[in-house]
Amino acid sequence: MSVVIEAKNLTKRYGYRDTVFMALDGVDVKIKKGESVAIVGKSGSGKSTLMHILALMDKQTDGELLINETNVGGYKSKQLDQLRNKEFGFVFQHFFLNPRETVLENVALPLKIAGISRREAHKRARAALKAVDLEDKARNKGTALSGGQKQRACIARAVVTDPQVVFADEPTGNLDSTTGKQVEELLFNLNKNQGITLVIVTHDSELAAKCDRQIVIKDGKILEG
Amino acid sequence: MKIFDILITATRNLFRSKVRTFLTISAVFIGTFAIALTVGLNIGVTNFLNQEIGALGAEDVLMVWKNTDEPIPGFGTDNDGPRRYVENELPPAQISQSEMDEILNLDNVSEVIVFRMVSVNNIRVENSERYHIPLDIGLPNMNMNLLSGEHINHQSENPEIVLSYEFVEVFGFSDADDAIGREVIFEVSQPDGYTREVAATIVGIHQISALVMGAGGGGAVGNAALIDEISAINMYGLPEEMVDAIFFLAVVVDDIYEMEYTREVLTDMGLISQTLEEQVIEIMGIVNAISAGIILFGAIALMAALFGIVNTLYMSVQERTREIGLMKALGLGKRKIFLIFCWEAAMIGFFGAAIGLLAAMGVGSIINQVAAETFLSTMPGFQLITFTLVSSLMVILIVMFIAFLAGTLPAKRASKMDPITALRVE
Repeated sequence: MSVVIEAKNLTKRYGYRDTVFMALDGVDVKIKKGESVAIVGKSGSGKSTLMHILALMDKQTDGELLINETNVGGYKSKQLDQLRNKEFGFVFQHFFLNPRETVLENVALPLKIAGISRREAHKRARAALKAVDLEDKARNKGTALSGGQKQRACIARAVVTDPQVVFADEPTGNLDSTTGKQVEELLFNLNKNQGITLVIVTHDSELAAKCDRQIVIKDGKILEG
Repeated sequence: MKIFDILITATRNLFRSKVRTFLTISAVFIGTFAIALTVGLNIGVTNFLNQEIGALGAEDVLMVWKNTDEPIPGFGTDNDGPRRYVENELPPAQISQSEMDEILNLDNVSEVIVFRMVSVNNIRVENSERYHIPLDIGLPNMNMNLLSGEHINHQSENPEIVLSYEFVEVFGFSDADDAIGREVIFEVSQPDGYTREVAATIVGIHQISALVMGAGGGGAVGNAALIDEISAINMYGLPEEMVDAIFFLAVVVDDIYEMEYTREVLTDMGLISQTLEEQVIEIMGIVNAISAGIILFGAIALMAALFGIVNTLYMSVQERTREIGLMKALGLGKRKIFLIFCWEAAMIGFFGAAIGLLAAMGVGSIINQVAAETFLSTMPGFQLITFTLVSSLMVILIVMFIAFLAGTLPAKRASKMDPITALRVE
């Protein structure tokens, strides 16, 4: 099985000299295609920093990062933006739906960023909404949805570009257990049925246990995984 | 993101905080309104003057007068206070007969006409009512916008006039052609109170043209024979040196390409010469100076508006931190984020400029209407405030461009935003 994301000896350092703080300290990660991986750890452990670097939203201080077996160290920010847009999808704890725009516009946003025509973007966004059972809410504003619906809309937004990897940062953190279960189910279905690689950052051990593999991180170092 | 989507996103953002956007647009509106109205005024006046210069013709004619500090009677007062009268002394501003002969003998000069100011009491034809009329001496070769007949001939011994079209009807002529060859009678007063009558033949009928030698309200221009005769009556019984006094000459040159040389000679003789066009340009200079002043005020208002735009967009960037962060996380590049905010600024500029321009057009047409009914009623065809497509587009584009530049400051901040920081929820 091919490796989608590989990190070698990642370090992330903040501050200088006396105040230096190692958010990541020599981390090696390998994520294979089609896997579901949980990154777990307490807050401040460095799990968010690790996800941000793996998702190309942040830069490591040292170490190598390979996406699809290509070192992206020398990439310009424009190339990184394109790669992130094309290959990755994101689900956030706080949803980040734009309340002033329709659900459809929200879901179509990554496609519009990719430069896909409005008509095509809306068509694909509608299909993605159908897959999460929200097609009847397409014309509603973001604020009109319940928490579970919002997160489903976010999942639609994450997969609308047909990404290889979906990063989910505490996807159920703002949901009650029932809706949380629905969202989990939806994510794992994507993983099983469409072969989308799933990287979930969570401190919910129950959710982490459902993943194929767990990467436990503490004080910027990997304990297990 | 495609440019079209960037435009749509930026324009939609404008309507989020409607009151704030409206106020910012208002500031742009005020500046643009002042500038657009002034530009319109400038174009209107310039158009009119150009049209009139073109219509005037007489490019081979120089107005000539004495280069002296002394006042010309009737044209300004003596700065040094009252002058003592000296028996038999010519006023210094006067051109002598020998100077006039000298000018006539210059190589390039074909004709010299004494330019006299005359006044007549009224004009009539046989059995008609009497009417007020301004009468001036006609400039040689002037384009009179003739509807019928021809221009006056200064060489002719017979008194001739070109009459304004308005008089065709009141004198009972059937049309302009019918008026040609008819005789009019001027009533002219002598200084002693007696009135005399002078007859003249209508040789042409012209359409009213505002600049034709001050013919406000329509009037007549006469040839040298007529004007000399009337002038003699106007000055009847006055001292000879006054009657013979010459202050202005109209000098006709053979070759306008040699005109500069002729003017140099005239300057050496202590004379000032000016073409008709230069006289009009002098007026234009005043108009331009006034325009520049008003435009400066408009520009200051626009400057203030620009700070408004910068401020508004800084607030907007602040409010939309999370949204910017999300778009960046989803792969929108720095340059496009930058463009979204710059476009937003440009759109504020566009709306402000467009509304300002429309308002200026509205106010301009009201001013034009009022002007046409009042102080410009004697100048048909003078549209005081004129808008052209090019000038309107220029105003809008320039304001948009300046607003765009103002937008670059907040846009820079937005484009530099770090998505992780922006998405962090406190």
